[in-house]
Amino acid sequence: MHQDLLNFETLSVNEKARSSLFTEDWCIRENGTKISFQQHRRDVHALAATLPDNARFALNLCQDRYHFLVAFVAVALKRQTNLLPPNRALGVQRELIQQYPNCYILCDAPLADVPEAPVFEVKLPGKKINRAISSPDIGIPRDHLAAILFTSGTSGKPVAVHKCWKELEAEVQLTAARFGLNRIGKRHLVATVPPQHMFGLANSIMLPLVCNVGFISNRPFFPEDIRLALKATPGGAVLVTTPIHLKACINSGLNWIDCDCSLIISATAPLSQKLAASAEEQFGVPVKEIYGSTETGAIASRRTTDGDEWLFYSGISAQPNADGYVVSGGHLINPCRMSDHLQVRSDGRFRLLGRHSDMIKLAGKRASLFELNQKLNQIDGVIDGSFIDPAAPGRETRRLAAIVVAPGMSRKELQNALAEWIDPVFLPRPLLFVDALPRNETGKLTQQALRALLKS
Amino acid sequence: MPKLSPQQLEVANLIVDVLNLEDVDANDIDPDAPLFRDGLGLDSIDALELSLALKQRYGIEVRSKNEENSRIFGSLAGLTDYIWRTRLDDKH
Repeated sequence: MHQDLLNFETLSVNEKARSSLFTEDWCIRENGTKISFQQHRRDVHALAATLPDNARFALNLCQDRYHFLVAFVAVALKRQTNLLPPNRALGVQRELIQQYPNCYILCDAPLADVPEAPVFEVKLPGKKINRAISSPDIGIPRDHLAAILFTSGTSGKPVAVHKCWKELEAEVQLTAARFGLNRIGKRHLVATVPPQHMFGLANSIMLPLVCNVGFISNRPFFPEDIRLALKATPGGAVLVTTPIHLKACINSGLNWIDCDCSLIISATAPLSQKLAASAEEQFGVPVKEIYGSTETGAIASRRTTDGDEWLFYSGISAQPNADGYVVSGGHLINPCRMSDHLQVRSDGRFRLLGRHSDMIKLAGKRASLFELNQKLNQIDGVIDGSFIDPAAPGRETRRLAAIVVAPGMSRKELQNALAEWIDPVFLPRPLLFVDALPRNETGKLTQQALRALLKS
Repeated sequence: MPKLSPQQLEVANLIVDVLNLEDVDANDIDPDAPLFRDGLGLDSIDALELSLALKQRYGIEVRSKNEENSRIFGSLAGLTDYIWRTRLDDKH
């Protein structure tokens, strides 16, 4: 199964079936413009012709999903690699550009602050190109390193995760097979997640490229945006989202039942049974959850209301080793160590028993406390400081707090300095200034001592 | 710092309340400072929560493509103006 999947020569989607389903409207833009699958190929070739030949990397910052997709494929077509930054912080962009020489930036809106690298704005031809012109195929070597994503390592340094084209393709083949996406007729994906994130890259960019689904190019954010995007799909929608957005939708008081959505796929954070049940009731469709990570991509799923057991994707299995589990098979080129504790059954089902490390997950983003503390203590003017998860162990983290020794620094100065480096969801609140941190005799700080100080 | 109008104070209290800004006094919010990033350091998840509160309290539906959004969410003054203008429009 494993080898077959990674070595298949042709896409398993019948191109004819795709063109008959999506004659004109494979992608629907925000202004209602429709783009066919053929048109996207012409746009990819047109953009690729304007990109530099001797670069190796492209920092893909495009926000519109169609722009991102065209840029993503054009970069790969030129045998270059997309760098997908974990957030839009300028310091992070600068670091990537230094770390990956021969890099340019691809964006679809003028950048306020431009790191030192050539910038290319993705502009598509305003008018439709004559359909009679044939659309050249897009040949990307299957071993080509298509993208590098970044995730927080336990040691504190961001870890680069390499994804070659075939692994990305194979993952969404498995997702489509699991959810029957190639057989549900004409559906468009409506996604609330950014394409630079692994879940968004797979389920809003690669899925339409590889399988029989269309997509909406904008990224709806507020509940009313999501409702209108669902209604804009001609044949019905599949909503690709997160527990946070789902919760906002459920609490918005809007009417979801007539939105013609046939499936909801949630990931990035655990979805509660209660929230999943309300969503199923309000939308009138099943809510499925995907389990995975940046390193592994999606590897399992469940219908949340069925219980707490997950089922691995076809071909994927977990083997115990000294300190946890290693997963392999399916789309995975290399076995991956799991960062969660699992309880695995022999039939491919498993339960999650919690995380190993100091990893914090907020709004689908991951950071290690170690890494955040490193960034905090690197700031000029900070003598000592530590982030704290104010939530009691086992409770949901809403926001991080920090306690800092930084005489002479204002709250605002410190917040601005942190914002240069870390994603806004991890910016500490409250931010407490003290004379000294409660270090014990060995110089160690415990989260309990910090929580006690925070409460006092 | 300019003193807040009663409406601005009402909205400031809502923000502090909804977003659990424990270390912020509503009276201390600069009405013209940006709410996101620089001023209060709010982020996109806060925007979602704030949008729900605006809907519940004032019946206002926020959309991201509203041309005015950068001004609406730009500052406390902008947000307050928008709320009161929208409520007036609805009454007419």
